[in-house]
Amino acid sequence: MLRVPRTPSAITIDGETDEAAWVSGPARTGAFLAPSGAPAQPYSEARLLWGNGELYLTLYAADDDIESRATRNDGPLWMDDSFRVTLSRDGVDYVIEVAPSGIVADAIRRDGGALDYKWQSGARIARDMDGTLNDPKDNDEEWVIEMAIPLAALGMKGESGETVTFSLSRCDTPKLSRRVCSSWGDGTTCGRLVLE
Amino acid sequence: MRHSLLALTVLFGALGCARDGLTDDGGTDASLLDGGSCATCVTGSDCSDGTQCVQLGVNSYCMAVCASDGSCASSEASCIAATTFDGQSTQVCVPSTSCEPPDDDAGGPVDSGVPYDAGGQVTGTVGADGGTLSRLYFGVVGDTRPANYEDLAGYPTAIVTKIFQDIEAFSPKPAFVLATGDYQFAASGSTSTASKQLALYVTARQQYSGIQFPAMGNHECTGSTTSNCGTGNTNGITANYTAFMNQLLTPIGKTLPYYVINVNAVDSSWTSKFVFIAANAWDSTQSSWLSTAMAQKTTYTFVVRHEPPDASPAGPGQAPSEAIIAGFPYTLEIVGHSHTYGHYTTPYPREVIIGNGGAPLTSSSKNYGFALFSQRTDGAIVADMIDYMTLKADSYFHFVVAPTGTLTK
Repeated sequence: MLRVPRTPSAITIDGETDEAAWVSGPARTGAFLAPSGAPAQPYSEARLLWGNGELYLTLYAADDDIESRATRNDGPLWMDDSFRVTLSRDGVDYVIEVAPSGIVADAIRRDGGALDYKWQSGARIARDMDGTLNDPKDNDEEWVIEMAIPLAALGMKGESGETVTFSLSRCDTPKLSRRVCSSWGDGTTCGRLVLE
Repeated sequence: MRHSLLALTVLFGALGCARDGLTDDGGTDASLLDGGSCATCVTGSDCSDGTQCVQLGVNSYCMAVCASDGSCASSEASCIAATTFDGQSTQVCVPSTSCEPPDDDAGGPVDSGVPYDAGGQVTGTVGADGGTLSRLYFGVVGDTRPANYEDLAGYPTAIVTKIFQDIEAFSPKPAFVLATGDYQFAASGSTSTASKQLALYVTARQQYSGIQFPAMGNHECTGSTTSNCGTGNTNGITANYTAFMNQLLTPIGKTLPYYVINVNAVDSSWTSKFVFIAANAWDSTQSSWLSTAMAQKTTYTFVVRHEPPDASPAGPGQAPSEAIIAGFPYTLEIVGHSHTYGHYTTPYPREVIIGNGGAPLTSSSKNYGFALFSQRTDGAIVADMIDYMTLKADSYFHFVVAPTGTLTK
């Protein structure tokens, strides 16, 4: 369970995460875990805040080779380096995938059915990247996604005490290695966010 | 850490979604460890004295707080960095035994390291201005910054502390330690936490009692790899730069971010120089200094710079310094910047990356640790990477280089 603090001030979605609220006391996932349960490599973590009707996330990915080939939103991100955010309420899963390029694939799934990519989360996203996209010859360092998800899109009112089931995972293809995924929790529908 | 990782494997592998959230009372057969337990919690009031409610994976557990020296009262637990239920940074003891019976998928990573032979004792001393030794034997630690900007709570204190404890405990103990830069991730202005982050680093590195020589990283300027600090340069004197100079270099009597240290044989049979380049404080003065420093004839020359030769974007002094050192003989170029480690025979056979000192790891298979460089009786330098938890050497990294920089066996 993560208790998500309410930000006392506005968050500018610019990929810089330099607002005081990100520094002073966001909810933190800590290091993501590999399927074995060990801290995952490459390193990933997330921080969360809420306020102004939005859920804010900072998604951090250490990455020696940043890869992102999809060119349009709702395009295929499953071969890209990407984060996958899943929020679930009342039998509905809201899935938002985001690549280091900033490309987003968002979908809704009702009662365990198929993902419907016509759904638009309205998420605002900015990225910061230290490295070169799609160039495996050099050593990249990291990429960061700053995201604001409208709580209304998740069927939430944006009130203290509201909860939503939450999972978060990241997949990556490191240099000279096979694709690996890591997660907060087991990467499926686990954990819970509580808006403080 | 391997032990604690196994424990976490069991912990999280067994919990799963069915036991998610508020009603879970996981770890009912928990063994008590250091006064903590595997019992789940929601707030701090759910935990007894001496324990804190910390987030581990998808759940929160009451875990014993580590002692100030980073150790746990029980040898069956490991001290790791964690976040409390209300977002505070702490350190807790995580059990090496399982909280629940292991399942079939609970296997941890397989250690591929090999025992490290540090060789015979080293006599002599190295101080702030260099010194003399019976043989060269030194450690390298690189890149210790947190993942996030201005993040004091996320500073990798536990990892850095453990690394320097390891180095201190090695037998024989390395005579000195080099650092390849990036000790902070801080704002460059007046509200910066740079000084506080470096204070965390200094405290952690004090676990090692020998002299330490730090190189300047891009995060000691503004954080941007292209930034250039110092009087008269584009970014001038930033909070990061000031903290680096005041807290890491002033204590060893250095007034500039670039300098050279000489370490020679007690019996005068060999000489060495360690040339620290500040590619993010590059100017014509440093350029001239570097040419002069490199011209000094020594048996061994180790160039220490934060950015590798192929870093992209590049540090301002990266290519210019690379051009200068290429005109002189040298043994190795020790760099960081990439949060990993490696030695690649092409295209830079004399380059060795040591950037796994606590900053978020970028590769999929390399752990935190430190490098050791040890002079053999035939004069060759043996390089190894030591895993900070197992203290074993990575056999894939191991290499030997002659004083000239030629790879040998």
